[in-house]
Amino acid sequence: MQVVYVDLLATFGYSGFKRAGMPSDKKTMTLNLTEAEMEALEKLSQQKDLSKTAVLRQALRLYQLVDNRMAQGETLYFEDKEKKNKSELMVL
Amino acid sequence: MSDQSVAYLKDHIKGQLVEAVLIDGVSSDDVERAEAAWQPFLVQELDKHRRTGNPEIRQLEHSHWDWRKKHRATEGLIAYRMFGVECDGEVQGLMLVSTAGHPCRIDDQKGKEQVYVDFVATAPWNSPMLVEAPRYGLVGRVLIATAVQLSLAEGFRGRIGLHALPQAETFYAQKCGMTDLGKDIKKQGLRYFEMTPVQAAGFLQ
Repeated sequence: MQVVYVDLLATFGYSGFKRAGMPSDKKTMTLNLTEAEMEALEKLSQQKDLSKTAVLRQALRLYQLVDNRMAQGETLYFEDKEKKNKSELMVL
Repeated sequence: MSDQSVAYLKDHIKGQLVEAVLIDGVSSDDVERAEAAWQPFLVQELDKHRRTGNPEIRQLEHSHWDWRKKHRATEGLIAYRMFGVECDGEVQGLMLVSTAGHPCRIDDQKGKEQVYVDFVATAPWNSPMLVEAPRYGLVGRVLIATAVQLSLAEGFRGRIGLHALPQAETFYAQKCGMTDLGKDIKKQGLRYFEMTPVQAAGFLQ
């Protein structure tokens, strides 16, 4: 099991980008990940040129966004531009 | 949650820079104040120009945007942030951005994260398209700089993207130095602009 510390401030509010140097009101949590999960996180971090914390924030933002749209009865699709077909993405 | 910091606008009447407030996390009250002032002014100006037959004045392309609706639709969603600029007790500009779901398109940064500017508008009395003597300048620049700063703070290295209304294309291409990736048929044919980290550094200088 791998452990990462996640800064949730930007996820739940102010990112602090205008308050550099001021005391932080960020929340910290410990996250336990399996080897495979950590490997996926590291790969995304490298591919996206982001810190692991930033990748997790992005994941949470997208998850909330998708969940919100689906709760309103919308459906999420992926489109293959070449084959011109669409497939529905099943979310939890 | 709302935070405020100092920004500077150009007061065209005084001919000098004046202090303004940059609001991060615009409230529904702020939006209400903006719409309550912007829409009547817009209607009044357009009516005035119709009566006088002023051919120089055009309809603002974003005049139909309903900021109340945009605020309601995105409130509580952490992927969205709404910013505002206030000066002289009035909201001078608003911007809605999203920090997820709009990966970069320029080849060198394709798939990387960026701040996407969903909507940005200045108060109608600041628009040279609508009034002969705009009150405040630099509103758009302050808001776009805010998007770039947010991108830096998020670890996106200053990358931002947006679809421009035709009236604003020159501003993004020339004043902001963004790359024009052409018309996007999936976005009502609007031109898509993107800013790279190098362009962002140049813009903030």
